[in-house]
Amino acid sequence: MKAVPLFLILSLGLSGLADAQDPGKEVIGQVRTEVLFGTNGSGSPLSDGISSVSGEEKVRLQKVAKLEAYRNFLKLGSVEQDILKGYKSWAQPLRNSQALMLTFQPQATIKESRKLRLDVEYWQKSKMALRWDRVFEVGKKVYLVGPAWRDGNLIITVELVSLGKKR
Amino acid sequence: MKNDRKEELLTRWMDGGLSDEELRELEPVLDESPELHQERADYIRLREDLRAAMPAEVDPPFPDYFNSRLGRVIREGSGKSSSVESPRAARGLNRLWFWWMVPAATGAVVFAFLLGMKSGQSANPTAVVDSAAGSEVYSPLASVSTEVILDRESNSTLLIVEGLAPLEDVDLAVGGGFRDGRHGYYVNTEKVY
Repeated sequence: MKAVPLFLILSLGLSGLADAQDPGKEVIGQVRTEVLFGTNGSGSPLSDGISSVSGEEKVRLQKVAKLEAYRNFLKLGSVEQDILKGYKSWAQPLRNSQALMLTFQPQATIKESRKLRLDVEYWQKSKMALRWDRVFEVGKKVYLVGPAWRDGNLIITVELVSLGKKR
Repeated sequence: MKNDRKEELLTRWMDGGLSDEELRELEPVLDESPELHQERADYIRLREDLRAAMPAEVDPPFPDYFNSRLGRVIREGSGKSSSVESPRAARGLNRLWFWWMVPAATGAVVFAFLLGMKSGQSANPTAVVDSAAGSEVYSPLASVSTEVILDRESNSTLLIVEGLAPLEDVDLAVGGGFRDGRHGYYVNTEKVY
């Protein structure tokens, strides 16, 4: 009878110790990924779970030739997650769909504050479509103007929210 | 015979690289350990089998991405070495730079090769590499082209991607309504690479 709880305690303790000893699991930042939709429609048929982007962001997006024709920019989904030092992180910004996925793999933390070099991959329908190696700066959004959908265009945004552990 | 010398001669003997004089020097060792002849025969056979099985040259996957990364390492290194103060110091630093550059370049080659291998895509001669503002964009898809735009006013970056396949409603699972996503798996890259 005593063997079971003892075994559980030992195994849980050991797995916790293994996690604590894995330096690759150190959280070095948080990144937010969003999926936006540029459209001339109102988005009302989509309704459930969507919101409009800020006016400032709309103006920014309309400067791009490919997007200037769109009147509305809607946010379809978002996810914020940790970046681990020795792990590739997969982000799924739309909960019900794995057609759009991104991965983040840290390459180096830049000593200048608030910067992190990441290898970002954009996966579309289980195929890696793009790899982007760039330095991300806290608070500065990067936009990936991506595939067409319905009458408009999908846009994926990536933002380094913070560096270090989440506060 | 000293062990270091013996090891050196044995290594070169395995590869058939000894002169007659060196061979005579090694003969006592071989007489003491005749099993070395069998080991050498096994080694040569294994080497020939490997040569027959492996192509003489293998192109790295994603060669353009590989080249661009290597180029970046060299450019970054050149930038650092430009800050030397005197010709004498420059010569010293250049020598240091050279010795530093050899492993760095080798590391970059291996890294880029592994990076390409990891993604499991075949090399694509029409793939795209776009470089701007210290970042590199690569796509293995021949249909894809990219352009990086820096919006200085808002201090943001836009990556315009053309040629991606359009998505359908079923891809985005529209029927279930949109809800914020969730993080996916964390894959340990230190143990993979």
